[in-house]
Amino acid sequence: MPPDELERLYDTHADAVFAFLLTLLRDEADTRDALQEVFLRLARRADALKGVIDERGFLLRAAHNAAVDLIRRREARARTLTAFSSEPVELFAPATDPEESAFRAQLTEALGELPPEQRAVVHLKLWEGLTFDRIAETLEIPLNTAASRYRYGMDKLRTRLRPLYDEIR
Amino acid sequence: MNTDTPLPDDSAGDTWERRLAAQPFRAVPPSWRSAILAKAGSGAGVRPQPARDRSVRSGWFERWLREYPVTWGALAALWLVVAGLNSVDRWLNGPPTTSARSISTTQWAEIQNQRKELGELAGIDLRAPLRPAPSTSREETPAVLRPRSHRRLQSLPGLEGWMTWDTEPDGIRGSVDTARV
Repeated sequence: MPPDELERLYDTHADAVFAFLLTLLRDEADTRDALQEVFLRLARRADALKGVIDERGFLLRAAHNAAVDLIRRREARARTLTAFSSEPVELFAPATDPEESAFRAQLTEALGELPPEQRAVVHLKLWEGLTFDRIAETLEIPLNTAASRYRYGMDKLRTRLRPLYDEIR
Repeated sequence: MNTDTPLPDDSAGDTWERRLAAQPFRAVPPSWRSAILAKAGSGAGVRPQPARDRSVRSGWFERWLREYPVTWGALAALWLVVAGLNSVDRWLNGPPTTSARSISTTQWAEIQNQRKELGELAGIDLRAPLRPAPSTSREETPAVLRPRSHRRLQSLPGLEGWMTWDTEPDGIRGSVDTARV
């Protein structure tokens, strides 16, 4: 792929891919490795985006595959990934309002408590605005599985964050 | 957000969901851009390694051929001449199987004559037609069925001339030369 095309893709989609990878991996070094792998694979294939209509969807799928590969390669780390997924990691942009900042910190923690597969669905639904059809395509899972993972994930987040949310509101 | 799949949770009206979705994610660190794109660019150039190996191998073969062009050319010309002569010879003489058959028949007649002369000299009637000798190959000779003990007796060491035995249909009969005992 030509360098200028690669740069265009990076500038357009890197933030979204970064956020998705960070939600999945919850580790900045791993996220960087996976993001680099995504663009490395793109650079190696001249016709990587041939026939692709939805670039963002394509890149999110590639990011998911890269994250899964990374987890498999580092199996020892992957075993601890879930256990330490509640370790502090900054997912969200810093907020000037202390209450908002507290809510984001709680949301970060609550997301970390979700199983990675639920986290992936919740992220794609809430922050990428994908339909369940597209989520199922991206993660290569059945439609109903995507929907149920979202429902379970949202229930947990609601239980965990609703008191704080009500308090803030 | 579109609602092409009619699932209960696929609604956009939930304020709780909108509240969560409104939380902005961090942007990718700016310093990563140049590093990732540079690595991707260099990685793209490293990939065609096997192709270079193939070209090195074919270069070696070409060099080997190119070093002795006269020798290779002469060898090829010689091979063509031999192949041509072979095909011309086959075209003129036909397949070689008939000549081999006639030689064999001639020799057979000569053997018959020699045998007849030998019979006359020895006073034996050898006028009966000679049949080809039976094959002595292991597969065609039936194995002689006899008791294992018989074979053992015949091969006893140190008793040659002292004992004699005959193989008869109902068993083995042996006798001892008492004069030697």
